[in-house]
Formats: sequence, structure tokens, C-alpha cells
Amino acid sequence: MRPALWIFLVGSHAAQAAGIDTQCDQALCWQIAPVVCVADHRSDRCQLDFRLSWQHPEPISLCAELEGQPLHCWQQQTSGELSYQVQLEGPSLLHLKAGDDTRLTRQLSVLSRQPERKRRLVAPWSVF
Amino acid sequence: MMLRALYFVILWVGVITPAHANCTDSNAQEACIDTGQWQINLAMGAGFRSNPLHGGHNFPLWLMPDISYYGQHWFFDNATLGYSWQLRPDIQLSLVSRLNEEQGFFRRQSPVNLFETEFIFDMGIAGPVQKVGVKQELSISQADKRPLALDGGLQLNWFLPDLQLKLNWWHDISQQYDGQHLRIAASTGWQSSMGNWQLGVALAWKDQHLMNTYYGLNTVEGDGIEYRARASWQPEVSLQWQYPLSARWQLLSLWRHRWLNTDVTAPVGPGRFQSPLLQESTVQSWFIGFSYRFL
Repeated sequence: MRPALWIFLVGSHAAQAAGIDTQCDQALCWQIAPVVCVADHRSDRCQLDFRLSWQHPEPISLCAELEGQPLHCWQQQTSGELSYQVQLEGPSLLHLKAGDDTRLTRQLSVLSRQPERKRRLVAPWSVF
Repeated sequence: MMLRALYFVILWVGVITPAHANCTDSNAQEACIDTGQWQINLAMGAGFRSNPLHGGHNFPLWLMPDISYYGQHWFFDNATLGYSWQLRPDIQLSLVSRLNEEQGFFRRQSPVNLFETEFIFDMGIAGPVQKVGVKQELSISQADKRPLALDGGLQLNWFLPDLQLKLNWWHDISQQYDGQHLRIAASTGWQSSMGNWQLGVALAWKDQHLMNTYYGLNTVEGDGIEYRARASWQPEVSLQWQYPLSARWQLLSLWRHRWLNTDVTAPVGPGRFQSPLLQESTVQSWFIGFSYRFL
């Protein structure tokens, strides 16, 4: 196997392990990591410190929004970076927009170490 | 009278805030279970379930299991197998299946009484004897060929802040009695310094096919007596008490009283006719003991 392929495979695996992957819309690409927040309990809010970066061959004006709330805007740049801390109550959508045009979307998810709890649908001790 | 009471119940539950079926509210943890994990409890103590049939022995209760598993949709809960959908945060609809419990009165070795039979002793705790005015007493041994049926149906659970409503429609999917039955149940729980309490009421309706298959008699079975059972309303009240002793141990007491064979078209009064197979018109159950949670 050629060395270039080995480098590609190892690099790809490392990026997945770190939770970094690239999404593109034509020439506009972005990376966000991490995208999963792990809480101790399901009812807990989850604090996620994520890092966002984007690249575009031509200067472009973009804004990052989380569930409709603006986080940061860049004016006529070919790349941008953002480190942000957010309290998540549940799955939330992160958008990268050029004006009113949503170019890229990514979901930030919340997982819990505690299993989901449900109501029992049959009365306890119903063999009685 | 019953319709008026039902109207007020519906009116009352319609104006209070619904609770969530996903256990996010903290006051309902007793009835909640972790998904993807078996929960096994075993109760040890003393009690019995009465057998209303002539010649039928009461069922002593020394050990009782409480076994459940809930996945995302599938669940198994004390011999009920189901698949549920959450229609609203407070409402769950389920496809359910289980063995019909009617045969359990006729055969002690019935799968319906599977757990109890292993611990049955010859000396039951006898209930009071009430003879029914028939020419000849008919016993369980003369009519023990009652089928074991598998029921399937729908279940609707509605969780309100202080009240749980459950509606069941069951149909014989094994074509043993070719009938159906309905059950509506309401329960409420509260905590006190004396422990956790759960009060329940229920009303079951069993159609003529079910009642006649199990409680009807032909002339051969009845030695000349023929009885065709009608549809039946069966009200029930129950009370459950639990007192936690540790994370795994608790004191447990259960009581239930069910009225049988209230024929829809039968005259009300002491002369009311009921199946010659029945010696008593009620089924009483009680249990007191300790319970242990394994998982």
C-alpha cells in the first residue's frame, strides 16, 4: 500500500476518534468538535465547549447561529475560527449562514450516562 | 349513577396539568424504571388469593415475583408483553398480549398460576363458605376442562400528576373463547411517614363468550343443570403499601377485593342468579411480607 494512502487512513481515523469531521457546501467547508455533550443525569444541563472553524477559497461574510441565536459573524474572510461555551438542555442545531442563506447545519447532541427512565405501563406486583 | 361519576372524573382530570410519561417529574420515581435493564423483585411473606369456585382451593402466596424489562418500545412486565408508542408526553398506547387469567381458578397447575404452584401447600387458608341456591353443588373437578387462552389487545396509559388511568381492550387471539373484555383502572399514590401508598379502583367488563366459556355449564357438565352465563361487570378496589427499609429491602402489603359475576341483565338482590360453579361472589387477595430488589 502506498504511503500516501496509509497517511490518509491514519489521519482519517484520528479525526474520527477526536470527533472532528468536515462538512462542505460546495467550496465552503467547516469543522466542529466536539458535537456530543455527555451529562451525568438526563435532567442535567450539559456544558459543551466546542470549537468551530471554516474555510472558503474566496472572501465571504458568514454568521454562526445556535438555534437562531447569533454567536459570531465574520466579514469578508477566507477562514474563521470560534471557540464557544454553551449550556445545552437538549439537541441543538448550529448553523453557518451567509446572509439569510443557511449554508451548513450541524446538530449538537446531549447524551446521558444514566439510562433513560420510563413509567411502568403495568402495575407493580400485578401477578398478585 | 356510574355514568355521572365517570363524567365528573373526566371533567376533573381534564382541567389539571398533565404529567410526563418519561419520568422527568421527580414525584413519580416509584413507578419509573431504567430502560434496557431487567428489574427483578421478589416478595416473601404470607397471603392468599381466594378461589370462588366450588371445590377450588385458595392460592397461598408465599413468594411473589415482580419482573419487568422496558426497551425503547418493547416491554415485558409481569407476564404482559407489549410494544408501546408515546402519543403525547403523558399518553402511551401499547399493543399488549398475555395469558387470560380466568383459567387459573380452574387448574392449580395452570401457567397463569405458574409461580404460585411451586409453593402451594395442601393446607390453604380457607375462605368463608357461601352456598349458592342450586339443586346440586357442582365442583371444580366436574368442570375443569376450561381452555387456556392467549389475549391480545390495546392498552392506553394516561399519566396525570396525581392519577394514572389505564384502559385495556383484550381479545382472545387463541380462539379459545372467541370473546373480548375491557378494563378501566385508576390509581393514585401518596407518601407519608408510614410509607408509600397506592390506591386503585378498576372496572372490568367481560363479554358473554368469555363468561360462558369459563362459567357456563352444559347439561353433561352440570349433571342435568344448564347455565348460560351473560356478560359481566366486575368492579375492584386495591390498596398497596410499601415501607422502604434499605436500598433493596422494603416491607410490602397488598390487598385487593374483586366482585364477580354481576350479570348485566340479572335482577339486583339476594335472589340474583350466578354461575352454579361459583361458591363465592368475590375474590379477595392479600399479602404481607418483605420484598427484595435484585437488579
